[in-house]
Amino acid sequence: MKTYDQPLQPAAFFILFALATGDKHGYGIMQEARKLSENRFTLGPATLYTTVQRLLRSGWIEEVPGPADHDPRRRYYHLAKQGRAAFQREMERMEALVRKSKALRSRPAESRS
Amino acid sequence: MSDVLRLSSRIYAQLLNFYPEDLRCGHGAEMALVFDEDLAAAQRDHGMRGVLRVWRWTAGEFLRLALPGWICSPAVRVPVMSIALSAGMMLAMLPGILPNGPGQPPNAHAILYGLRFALMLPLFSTPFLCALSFLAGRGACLISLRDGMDAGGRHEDLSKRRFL
Repeated sequence: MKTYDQPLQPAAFFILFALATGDKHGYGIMQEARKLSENRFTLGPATLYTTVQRLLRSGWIEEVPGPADHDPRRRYYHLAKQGRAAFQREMERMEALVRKSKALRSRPAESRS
Repeated sequence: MSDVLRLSSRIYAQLLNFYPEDLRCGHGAEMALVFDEDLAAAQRDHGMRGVLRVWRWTAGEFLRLALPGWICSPAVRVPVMSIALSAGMMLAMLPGILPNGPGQPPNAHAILYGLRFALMLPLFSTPFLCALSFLAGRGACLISLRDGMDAGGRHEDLSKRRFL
């Protein structure tokens, strides 16, 4: 039987997803997460930075210098190699679940029970 | 900046005191900045309803992430335990302040009174302990917020620093 990795928490998933589209500061991550989830998932500042702190410690994301003209109060984050791999694994896990779900739906009703 | 945003910003800066120290020191200044930006955008796009929505989220986060850790922190646990101990002891001593019963030795009342005074001491010290722990927590936050920016307003990497 195939086993699945532990799913990522939604906050970690959306932060990694947001950073997969490019380096961002905290508010940029928040906005991107909102956009990616079509306003269904909101990250508050405390949830955002608690998760960012955990991801920084685990080496999944890293702090990088911002662009030359950036607001000096902001800190920019970059998706590290490990984080990219974890995000990829999570996407594969989700795709596998969707495939299974579609296969289940396409079966005739009597063979499901 | 409107009055609502200014007031909200001040309240949030105070709420940051209750978040875990490592989060506050590492990302406190950024959290305040992100909150201000989110609130300003919500007010611009949705007016007062947007502001209330941000506050609803913030209150939820506060109850979920800040309050449990704050209640379990020694700065709160010590005074609360001190009050509980004092209250418990006072209740236990309650019979001592009543007149001696027929079966009690004559000096039992005095002994119990002295003991009650000694055990009430934490009750008097509790307000001082509370004030001290609050000021210590507030000081740590102010240090983190102030040191988050150097003289030129540039953000320093506070995750590599430890306060207290």
